[in-house]
Amino acid sequence: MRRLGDLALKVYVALVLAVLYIPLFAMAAASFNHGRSLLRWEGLSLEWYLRALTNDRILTALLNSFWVASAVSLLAVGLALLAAISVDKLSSRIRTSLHNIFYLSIIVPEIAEALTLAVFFISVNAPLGSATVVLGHLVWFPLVYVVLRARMAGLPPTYEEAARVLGASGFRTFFHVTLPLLGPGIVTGGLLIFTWSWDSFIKTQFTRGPGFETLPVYIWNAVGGRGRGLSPEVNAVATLSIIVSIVLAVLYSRYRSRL
Amino acid sequence: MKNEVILQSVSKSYDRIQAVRDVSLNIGGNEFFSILGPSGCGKTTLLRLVAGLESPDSGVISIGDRVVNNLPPHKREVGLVFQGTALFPHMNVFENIAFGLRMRSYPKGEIRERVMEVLRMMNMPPEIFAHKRVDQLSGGERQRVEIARSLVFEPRVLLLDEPLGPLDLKIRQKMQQELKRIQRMVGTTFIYVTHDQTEALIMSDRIAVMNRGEVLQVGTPEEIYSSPANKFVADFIGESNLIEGEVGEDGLFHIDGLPPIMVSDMDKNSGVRGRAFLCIRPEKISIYAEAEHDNSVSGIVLDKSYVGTHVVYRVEVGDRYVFTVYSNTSSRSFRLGERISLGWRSSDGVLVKG
Repeated sequence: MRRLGDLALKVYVALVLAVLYIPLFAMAAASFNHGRSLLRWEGLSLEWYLRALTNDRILTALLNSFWVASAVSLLAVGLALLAAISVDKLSSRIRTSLHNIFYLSIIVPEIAEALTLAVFFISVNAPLGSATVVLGHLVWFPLVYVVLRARMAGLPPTYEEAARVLGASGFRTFFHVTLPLLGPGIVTGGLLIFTWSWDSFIKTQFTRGPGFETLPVYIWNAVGGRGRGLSPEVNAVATLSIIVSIVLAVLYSRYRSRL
Repeated sequence: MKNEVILQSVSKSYDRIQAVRDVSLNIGGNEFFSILGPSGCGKTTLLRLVAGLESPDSGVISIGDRVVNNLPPHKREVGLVFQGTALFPHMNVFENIAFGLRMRSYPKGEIRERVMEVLRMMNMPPEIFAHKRVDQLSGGERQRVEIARSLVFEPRVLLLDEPLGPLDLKIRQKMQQELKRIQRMVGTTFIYVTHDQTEALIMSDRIAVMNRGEVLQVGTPEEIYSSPANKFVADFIGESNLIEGEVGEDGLFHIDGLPPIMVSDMDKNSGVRGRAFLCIRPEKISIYAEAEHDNSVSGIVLDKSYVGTHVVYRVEVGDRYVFTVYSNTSSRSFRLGERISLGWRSSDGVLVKG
């Protein structure tokens, strides 16, 4: 009976994984297919990768995605650090309400946030473009904040106190002790918001200016604009994008275990 | 003796709880000074006040002729060894010990020399330990590194907050000897906070006993043990028999249901009038089959336990008091229920106020 149960569990897990990952593998496989068809294998080829990586529009989109995600990560880490350190000076009531507001931005549906952001930018006459995209993504900074606070909760105050008594000023205590100890939290939080920014389509689409494409936006335009389904070129970029995401996820879980 | 740390009427409260109440202490140079008290008595707060991690509500704290009330911790030149372990986990042993020197901008070569020297002083060969990670050290080793880290920049005072708390009994006893050796060697003033009265008695030159934020008595271990200032000190330090009674006009101590008791050495007991407690240490009482001695009371053996070095008797006296008596293992043994007499010299009893 027990063995049967074990078997059923294994089959179930295999099915779940299959449903999750087969489409990704299919797409990745198609990106190496010589022909245009998703269904008929016509031989191995790197043709679509070559085409994608010589396509200026794709390269620009890749670059945009990368610098937007990098800028968002750096700024968000900075904001979250400042918030996480200064929040202890507030009374616990204000701190709790602040936390609630922060957490809201993580759970609000992206579409609602995107729409509000677009309305906001238009109403204050902010020219839509790359800056508005970065600002829009920055609304996710509580992601980093949450990770940092979790890390801080696990650090006893004795480290900072020891540093003070050993002769470090408040400033040097922060750079020699607090910051290095928060290191794993900074890396995980940064990676987390990087992947969110890298993957963002809805928010980017609503807050971008004309002509500014990130990778997800390019893929959408390439598919929707031509109305003839996926180009194998898109498969190739999408596969690259997935590889980036997976690498980041692996890094994330590796640092996460150090928390 | 020059006073290294002076506290004058220092008070500190959190919210509405008074953690330290009007404490005045003079702690001399090169002294091993313990602050002893139950948990929550304010001893850790006192230490944090000296370190500068808390600031007093009132009173003056000076370290080496300098008032430090408004000096931040990093300018006080004190070392602080924490309860748990506060070694920086992102630095190895060498870097941890070098931290204080680096913050004081010592040249690289001197930092190296000093770290190696202090490691050797701790009986930790630098070639084995200097590059170990903190998590590769045992509890005792961590504690020694923490002490080394606080001693290496030659602070005026070393503050220790129950540093041996988390260690096993055996390592604890070894570390007690180590600490005494180190203190004698460096000659720095040590202020040692503990709730363990045995530890305080063994290690200290002087002890301050604290309860509820107040210092109740300051003295050498012997003074504190043999002439406790009040009932709390008598009860907290070592074991004692405390019996309530009244000092009579006749100069004798009257306890309900017992014959009047002689208490000599009125120096110790001067000023005690009216209701008071008689304190007699269990090892000062002898058991006899017949009455002897200045003071004697008769009782019945309730309980008897052999603890190796001596035998502990619990004796019921006058139907309502239970005396604890330590008896030599070589002296005559008494049976449970046996009628016996307890006797002690009048100079062995001390009167204390409640």
